Amino acid sequence: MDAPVRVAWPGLDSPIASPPAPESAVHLADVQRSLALFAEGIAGRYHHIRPVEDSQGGAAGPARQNASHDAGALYLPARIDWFPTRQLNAAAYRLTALYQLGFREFGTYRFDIDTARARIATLRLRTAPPAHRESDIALFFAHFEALELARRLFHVIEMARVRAAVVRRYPGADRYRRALLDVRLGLPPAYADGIAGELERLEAALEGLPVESEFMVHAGGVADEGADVYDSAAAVTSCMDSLALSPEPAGEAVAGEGPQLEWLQRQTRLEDWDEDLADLDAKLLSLAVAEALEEGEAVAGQMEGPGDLRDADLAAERDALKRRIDMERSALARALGEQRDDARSFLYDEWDCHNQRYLRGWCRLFEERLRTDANALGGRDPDELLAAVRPLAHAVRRRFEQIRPSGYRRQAKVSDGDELDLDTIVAARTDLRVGVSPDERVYSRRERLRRDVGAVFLVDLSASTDDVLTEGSPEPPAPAASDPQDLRDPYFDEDEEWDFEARRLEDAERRRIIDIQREAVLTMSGALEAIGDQYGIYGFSGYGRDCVEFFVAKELGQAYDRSVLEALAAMTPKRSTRMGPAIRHAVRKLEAAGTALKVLMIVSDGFPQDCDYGPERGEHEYGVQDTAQALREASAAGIETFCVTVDRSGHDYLRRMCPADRYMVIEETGELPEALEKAYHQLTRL
Amino acid sequence: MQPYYLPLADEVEVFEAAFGARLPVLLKGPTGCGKTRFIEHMAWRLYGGEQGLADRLLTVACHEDLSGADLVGRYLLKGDETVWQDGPLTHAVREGALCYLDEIVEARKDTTVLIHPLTDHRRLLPIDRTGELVSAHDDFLLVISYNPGYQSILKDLKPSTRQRFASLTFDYPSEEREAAIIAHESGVDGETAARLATIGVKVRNLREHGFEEGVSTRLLIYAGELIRRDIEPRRAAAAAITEAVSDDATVQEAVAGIVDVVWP
Repeated sequence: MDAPVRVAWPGLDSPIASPPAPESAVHLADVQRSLALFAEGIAGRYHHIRPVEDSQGGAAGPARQNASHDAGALYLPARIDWFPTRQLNAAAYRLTALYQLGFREFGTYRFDIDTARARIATLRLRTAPPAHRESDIALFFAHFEALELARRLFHVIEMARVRAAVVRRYPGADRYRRALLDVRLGLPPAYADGIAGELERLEAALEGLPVESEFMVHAGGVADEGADVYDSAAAVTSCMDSLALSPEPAGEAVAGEGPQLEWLQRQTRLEDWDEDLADLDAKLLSLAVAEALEEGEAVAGQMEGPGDLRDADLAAERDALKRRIDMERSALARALGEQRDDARSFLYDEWDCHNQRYLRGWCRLFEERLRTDANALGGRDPDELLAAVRPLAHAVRRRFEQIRPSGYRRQAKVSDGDELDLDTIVAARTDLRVGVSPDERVYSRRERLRRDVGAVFLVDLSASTDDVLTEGSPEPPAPAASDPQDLRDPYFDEDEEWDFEARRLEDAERRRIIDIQREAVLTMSGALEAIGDQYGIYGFSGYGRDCVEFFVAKELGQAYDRSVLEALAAMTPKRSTRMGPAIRHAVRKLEAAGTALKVLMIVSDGFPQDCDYGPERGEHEYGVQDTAQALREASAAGIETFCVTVDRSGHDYLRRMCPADRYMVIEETGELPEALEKAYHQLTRL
Repeated sequence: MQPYYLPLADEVEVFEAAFGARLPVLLKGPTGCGKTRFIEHMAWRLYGGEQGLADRLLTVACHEDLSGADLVGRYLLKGDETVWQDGPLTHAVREGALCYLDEIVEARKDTTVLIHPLTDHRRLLPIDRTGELVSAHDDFLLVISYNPGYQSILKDLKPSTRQRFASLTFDYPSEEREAAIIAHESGVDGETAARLATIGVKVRNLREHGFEEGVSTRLLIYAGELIRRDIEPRRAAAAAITEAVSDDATVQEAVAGIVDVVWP
């Protein structure tokens, strides 16, 4: 047998766990949730919060604070221990985030090369570079022979401008800036030689440290009120001009940046294009509507006119823009990595059973809505799904309706109500006659009876749910995909490679575990609609700890409608089964719903597994123990959990994962809907 | 004194026109954005100042147990007999007043049906318990409000109800206007008010995800009032804003972080 493959693990073979952090240190994992909200409040848009090690192109960042950003994420240090108190270290995270958000807020990406050339006389002396698809900032850098140096200078100077603008707009942040300055004052100055050192000195001088820099004479004004990105560009131009006069070789190599400003500007530009595209689409739509109206009035055959030509021009313009956007998006994806704009990400701890400790912020979970476009549906018709469950759903629904509380009940003997209650009045009069103090609650009131139950259905969307049902001898779950391509590309989606039509025809012939899961959940949703319980439906999968996927088919509290049906139809087998983080995320959702009774039902087809679920590949115990721990956490949070699996070998691991009365192994997959129903009855004590 | 109200657009003119035509009005908008104050302001204008405001505006805060009897009236026991007592709606219909049903979607469904005959040309209120059919006084006006963003999917106004009203949509004012409102209402200086308004804008950016309701203008005014009474601004914001918008510690931490950087 092959030796087990080890994955990087803290405390075993990676330096992550050492040296020990001081008590006052704040870890990104601890603050990422509040930091994401903070950034969203400040910027008005969501950013993933990621450790700086994740950023493309290395950890080097401006102002030695080791931070950077791109359009969808802020990259911040994994740990901050610059200050002696936790409070200050947490504030340092906010300060660092504010600086990064400042680039967009204070107009770095609104840089326009024509304006720059108009405003900066010395820039006009230089030859304008030819423009292709570059961003305007890239065109600015192309004015200089020592392009890399210009870029670095711009970053340093622009960062200083942004910092100054940030503390003017957010004056509360200035305390932390000054505190950070004090810390830096206490550190021994160490600057490199040559031009790189000069840049470091400029950076320090701009931050307010008592350091001399030749560039300060050019860049000193960028911190002034009213300075904009063109003042930074002018300062860069002056610095570059001064270098041309000095004997120092200007082209000397300087350290590269993280995600480069040029690319980030292109991202910003892409957002503008997207808006333009939406405008064009709206225009085309309104034209089409107008045309349809005209058509109703006009005689057929008279429609050729200048209006059509205008439409055609507009449509051509729209298509050209769409092509440009697609090209730009793929170029950006290559340069900056895949962006997950629609998803939100959350870090979750994981239970390391071997060392009996939590690995803090170990897993990154992406929450996103299930796509319901034609591609995601893969030819499946939501109505067919509905038709498939109709006979069963009807029966289940009827059974649930029987236990539904009957709307309103008249409550007698209340002190305030819409009707006088005659019985009580008679009793009260009698009491008065015999000299006893009467009951004053003489009204009756109609009261609504309702259940206060919130349920979450968590559906395993691992690749093995693609297995065809062979009643009587179910196949063992497929091992996790181990194609090396997956390792390099965490977002590699097997589904995208398929020929959908061929697959759809093939699918029609066979029933898979996923079909049964979908139908079971849909049946339950019909039943829960009948009794009025709140419920949410989510799927989970993923690949690796950095990419746990949590798909929303229906949120708790969301109404059941066509989009939910489509989302259910769009549930497809994906990748692995990392159950722990999915359970923890579902628990958060249930807690937020705030119902009196909370129920979490997990529908799976095998044991928890993932490529790095445990220090050794292919190890099951780690995943089982983490899942068990997540279930214990749920239970401690007052949530009733229940696992249903269609895996016959389920008894082996479910016994170790959940209490005996909290799981069920389905022998025949067709029993799943009924099993869910029974379990739900049991849990909600109907 | 005329209740202070800073118009956001043409809502005052539209409301006056609706009143002129005796059209019922529906106000849509988030909690604490000034709907109730608008109604007070309009009652003052339309019913003749101080006295009008005191006598001719009946506000009912709807809740999930609000029944038809709570609006229309009920029999009370008085000694040996039962006496009919008009509810606020009946009172307004008889006397000619503005009846404002706040957060109407919270009320039971049967309650909303009650107001239907009042909202069309008939302007009638049938009272089944007394067998009366009350014609509305000429000065009677029905105004309802609801907040479409709040639990929007579970609780929505039925189209049959919604389509009986002229609608006015409210939202939080722009940062500058909100600062002016905060300064006027709480008496803080312009800069303090501007900072509170900035906090309002930033915290509302979270309303989609962190919590359902954004921080209301009302809460910002509360913060201003605490500050004017010499409470340290961060403490005042914690009491009036951070603690009020959410019970989730993470959201509170984020909101406190926003307050902390916006305040000097």
